[in-house]
Amino acid sequence: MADDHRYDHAWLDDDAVERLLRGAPLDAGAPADARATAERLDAAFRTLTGTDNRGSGTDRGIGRDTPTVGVPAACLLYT
Amino acid sequence: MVQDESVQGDDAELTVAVRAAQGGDETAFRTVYRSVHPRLLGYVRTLVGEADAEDVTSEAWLQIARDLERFTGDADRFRGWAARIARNRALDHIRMRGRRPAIGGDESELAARPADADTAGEALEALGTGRTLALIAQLPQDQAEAVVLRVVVGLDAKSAAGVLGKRPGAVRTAAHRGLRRLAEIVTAGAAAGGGAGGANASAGVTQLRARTQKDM
Repeated sequence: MADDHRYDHAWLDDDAVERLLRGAPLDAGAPADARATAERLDAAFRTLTGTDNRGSGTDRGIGRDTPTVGVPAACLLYT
Repeated sequence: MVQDESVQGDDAELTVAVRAAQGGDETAFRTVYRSVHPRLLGYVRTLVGEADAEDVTSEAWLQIARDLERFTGDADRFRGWAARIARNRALDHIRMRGRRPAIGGDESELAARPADADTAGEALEALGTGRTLALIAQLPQDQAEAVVLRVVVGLDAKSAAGVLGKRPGAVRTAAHRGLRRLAEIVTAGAAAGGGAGGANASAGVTQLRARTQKDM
């Protein structure tokens, strides 16, 4: 669609968008402002998966650093 | 976030754990929970807001545990199945709530946010859950959900389409448009001193909720 390409950052082509949607790193040759934007998006999404509402950690991958709240209730069905 | 290689390793581990949990292995169920819960919670946050997200996600896990025997498929399919359950619980919750919820306590943080953060690191650290919800709420609902299902829940376009009951092509387009728009907003926000959310934050979250209700 034409309006998909109005975005003025040439680096954000379909391949780059798909990488970001998969949580994969950009190409090594991506420009600095592209990497900065990718980092900002990554940091924003990470705040959604944390449980302390303060997404400041750089080492908190999705699916790691897991909260334990709720485990006992769901696991009761396994006892 | 996550590397392709580790995703594949995690997916293999999750697939095995789901099968073991289906056989009644509680330790395996905990492994499944550890892997998927942060993703589901992140998704539910965008649907019901911060205040109710933990409760709604816990309800979803109870249903997941109850219905797990009936599930068939691999890790990606499991995340999609779990996301659909979480989405239904979230929509039920919004329906039963029947009123606009109290907005979470992030506005003061937003208001107090220094406008002169001059490094990416500072800007990133200040981008809390509330700001992210406000950021995502600037997207049309279909784009917001498509992006969150792909990035946060970790689904491919086909699985995300299954959760939403839409065609994969439509969901792919929505996710691409939404991601580009988010990139645009965070870039503009960085140039303006990190104020992407700013004063519109609570309105944005409200709009997301209103759209979610309309979408039911």
